[in-house]
Amino acid sequence: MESGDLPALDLRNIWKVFGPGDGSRAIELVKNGMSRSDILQQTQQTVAVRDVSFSVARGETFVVMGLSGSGKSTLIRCLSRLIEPTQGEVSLSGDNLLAMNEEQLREVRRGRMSMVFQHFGLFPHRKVIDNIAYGLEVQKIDKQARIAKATEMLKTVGLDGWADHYPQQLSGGMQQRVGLARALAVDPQILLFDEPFSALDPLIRKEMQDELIRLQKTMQRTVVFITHDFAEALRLGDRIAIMKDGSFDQVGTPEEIVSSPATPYVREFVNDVPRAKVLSVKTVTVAGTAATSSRTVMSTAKIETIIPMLLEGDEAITVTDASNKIIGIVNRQSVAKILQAEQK
Amino acid sequence: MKSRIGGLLVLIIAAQTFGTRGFPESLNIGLAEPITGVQSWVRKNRSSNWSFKFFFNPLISVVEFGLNCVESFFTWLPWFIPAIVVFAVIARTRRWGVAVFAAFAVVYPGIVGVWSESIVTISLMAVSVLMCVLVGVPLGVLTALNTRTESILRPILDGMQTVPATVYLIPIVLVFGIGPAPAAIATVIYALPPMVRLTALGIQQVPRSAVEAAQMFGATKRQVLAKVQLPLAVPSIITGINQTVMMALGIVVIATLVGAGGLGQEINQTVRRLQPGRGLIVSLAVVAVALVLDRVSMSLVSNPGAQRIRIKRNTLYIGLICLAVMAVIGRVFGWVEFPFSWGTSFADPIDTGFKWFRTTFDVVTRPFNDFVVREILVRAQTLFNETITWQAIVVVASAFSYYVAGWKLSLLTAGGITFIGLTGRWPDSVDTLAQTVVAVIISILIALPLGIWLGRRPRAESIISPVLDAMQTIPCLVYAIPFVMIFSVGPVPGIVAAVVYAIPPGIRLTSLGIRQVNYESLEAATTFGATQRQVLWGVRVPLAMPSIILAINQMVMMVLAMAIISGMVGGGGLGYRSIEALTKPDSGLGVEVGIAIVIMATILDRLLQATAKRLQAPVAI
Repeated sequence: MESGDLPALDLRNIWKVFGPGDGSRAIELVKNGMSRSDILQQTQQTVAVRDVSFSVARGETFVVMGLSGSGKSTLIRCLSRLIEPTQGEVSLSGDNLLAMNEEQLREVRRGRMSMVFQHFGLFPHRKVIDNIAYGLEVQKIDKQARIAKATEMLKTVGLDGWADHYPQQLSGGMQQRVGLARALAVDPQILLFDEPFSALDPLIRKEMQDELIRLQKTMQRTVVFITHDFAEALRLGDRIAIMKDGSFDQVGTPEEIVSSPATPYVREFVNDVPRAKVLSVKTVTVAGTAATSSRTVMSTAKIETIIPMLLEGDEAITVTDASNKIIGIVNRQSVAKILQAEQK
Repeated sequence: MKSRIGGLLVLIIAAQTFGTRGFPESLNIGLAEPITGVQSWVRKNRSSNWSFKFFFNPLISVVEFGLNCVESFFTWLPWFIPAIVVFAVIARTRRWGVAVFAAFAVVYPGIVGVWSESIVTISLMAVSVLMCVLVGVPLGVLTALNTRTESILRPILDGMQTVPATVYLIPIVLVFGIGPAPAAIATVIYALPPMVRLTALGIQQVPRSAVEAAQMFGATKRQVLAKVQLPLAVPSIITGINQTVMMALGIVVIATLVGAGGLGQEINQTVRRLQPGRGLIVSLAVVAVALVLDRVSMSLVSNPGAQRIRIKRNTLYIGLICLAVMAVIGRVFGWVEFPFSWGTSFADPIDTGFKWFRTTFDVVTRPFNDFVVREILVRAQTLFNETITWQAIVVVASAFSYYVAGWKLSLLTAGGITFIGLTGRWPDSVDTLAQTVVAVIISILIALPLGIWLGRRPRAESIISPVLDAMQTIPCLVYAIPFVMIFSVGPVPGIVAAVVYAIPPGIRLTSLGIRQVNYESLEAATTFGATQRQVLWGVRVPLAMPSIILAINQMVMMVLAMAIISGMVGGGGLGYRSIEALTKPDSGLGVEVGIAIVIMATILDRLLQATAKRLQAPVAI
């Protein structure tokens, strides 16, 4: 099998237990169905991540969404080995990450993977430009080349002119752009984001999300993105995992999750989401034929985009798939039904 | 609960009935003898044993060489050069006022006529602080990064802070003899803990995400340390150097007991000659040295990106050359020694003032003196030596410890008190304890109300806090001088000096506690219509209680540290014994005294810490 067919990132049965000892007993107890607090009492150990498996394809954006204490930060640190997982396997395009020695791990971190941090993780004693060039400096790339690369990255994130400032002279949003530029400067295949925008205020957060979407369109990196914001997960994710108490409640595309939440926990998040923005026409398509075929719409369009058409005229609209084949119709009733579900 | 109290009462009564009053001398375990044996062994073998030949003696030679180099350099240098350099270094941060003030502080010792003594002290400081940095920074890094080193070093560092300086001096005199170099080594050992602690703290405080980021880019451990952790720890390390300097200056007087000259010796003499005026102006020279070192080190570090004057490399070279030329010209024309001295013109009026004060307020000071000595100290002595049996004391003290902090501290208290008796230092310890308690009570009565008052008045605080800072850098012996003048020689000047010495940190910590009370709690109280007074006593003071207890704790420690000094001015007790041990020298006695003081300090410290913890609001898990 060629390495191109392998997922960029593949996690199998990852466990992380904090506390004294090797943690295998706590894992046993979890498998026997014991509760968190009982395990803590018996073993002084906390099970932060329990049996998580997922894989991310090349160029895909995978979002892990969970509230604080759900284990998402631990999970992203397990897959970069900032924290050693207690059990499980992590492979990068087929290479076993957990079997690597320190030297090999450093090589992976220098070229193949980089990370953006929640509180930016910038070095306050270095200028913006030297922060961005840090990854290259560690690789002993000569100064001229790394400054050139860093300057280019600075431009990519829209901060040209700020090279000689220190991080704390910048606003939060700008600091995180520096963090992003620093991660991009080493040209990594995999980008890890640990709640990168949660410390920013809502308008700046939205701006940064747009920036990331724009960059991702041109770069096509493999991204693992951690967030506690469900709306952010829906905007950015090709696929989303909802994490609770250390394990995944549901994994799926935004549309799958919104249209059919797997657990009551997931449903609680979904209830607050304006469905018309997330769901595509396909989910409200019903069988039948329209009176006229002059009005057609692609099945992948978001529902929100056809509302003006529905208001324009009474008749149903024809729905076609990607190959222009007619698959059914939408009408006011079918759309109203799904929007009504939102009100419950 | 009731049966427990009953049992305790029975135990106390039994101990009081069947026990012995005062600690019987027959129980003295003779701790001194083996140590005195070591002392005489060391004396005999100092020139022949390998450990002296190949380690201790060469170490002394190196330190001596360093001291001589620094000293002759500063003696060679014309007096105005250091002032210019200090001004230039601080002026770079654009704080002109501070720069002028510091430059003035440089020439101050010259003005009051102790220029050459200052040079001796500065050399001692420079060499000791350099050694502290060379040893302390690596130790601090190890402490921060290696948990095993930390678990070994922490308790040692904690212990070192409660051990009074004279106790360090005894083994040093034993091993290294007497002279400036042993004094430097003693200073290093005394001043090392803050260097290690603050380096470790600086490294541990580096944001986790910065370290993780460096790791994520594949930095090696060495790269993370050299390029991220150490640079970010620099401000903390500089603070450590600062603290080290302050501590080193703090024992400048005590260091004279093992042969350091300079300002310390000068101060020591003013005490003997009862010249408070001269004592004060020489002490201000110590303060000036502290101030200069403090401001210069602070100006060397500043936040990245802070506004400072940038100097081109060429300008810097030209400046250095100019300085060198000026130094040579100064030498040629003989402008080396400070050209004039107004020392006596400041000192004499102060002396006269104190004499006047003494005769005028005799009606107040004498009764106070007599009251403290007769009614409190003598009574306490009779109480502990003749009225209560030592067994009853042990029972009561450990019961109290049990109530506050559980059985561990209770065992420590019982064992500790008994052990003090076994060393044969019971009467001396009773003396010191009585003096300490009196001094602490007076300090509490002054410091807490002042601290509570200041805590709500930031403006008054900002005026007073530099004064408090300056008070802390003045060597403690200096505090004793005026009070020896006012009261006669005896325990009272020591007590009063201890109070004056201990209240600045007491005020500081109390007002800090009052000020740092959560703003929302105060607003909540106010919105419920609480009056100012209700907010203060119902919210501020209770929430500040842990901080207030720590203030008391700090004052106890400082009063105990002052016990030695009070021995120098006739206070008796363990302080007097430690001076006796050092000057004879009698290592056996020194170790006994040291153990007694350390036990007392540890028990009091633990008790107060435990009380503070009990008063702290419970934290969510």
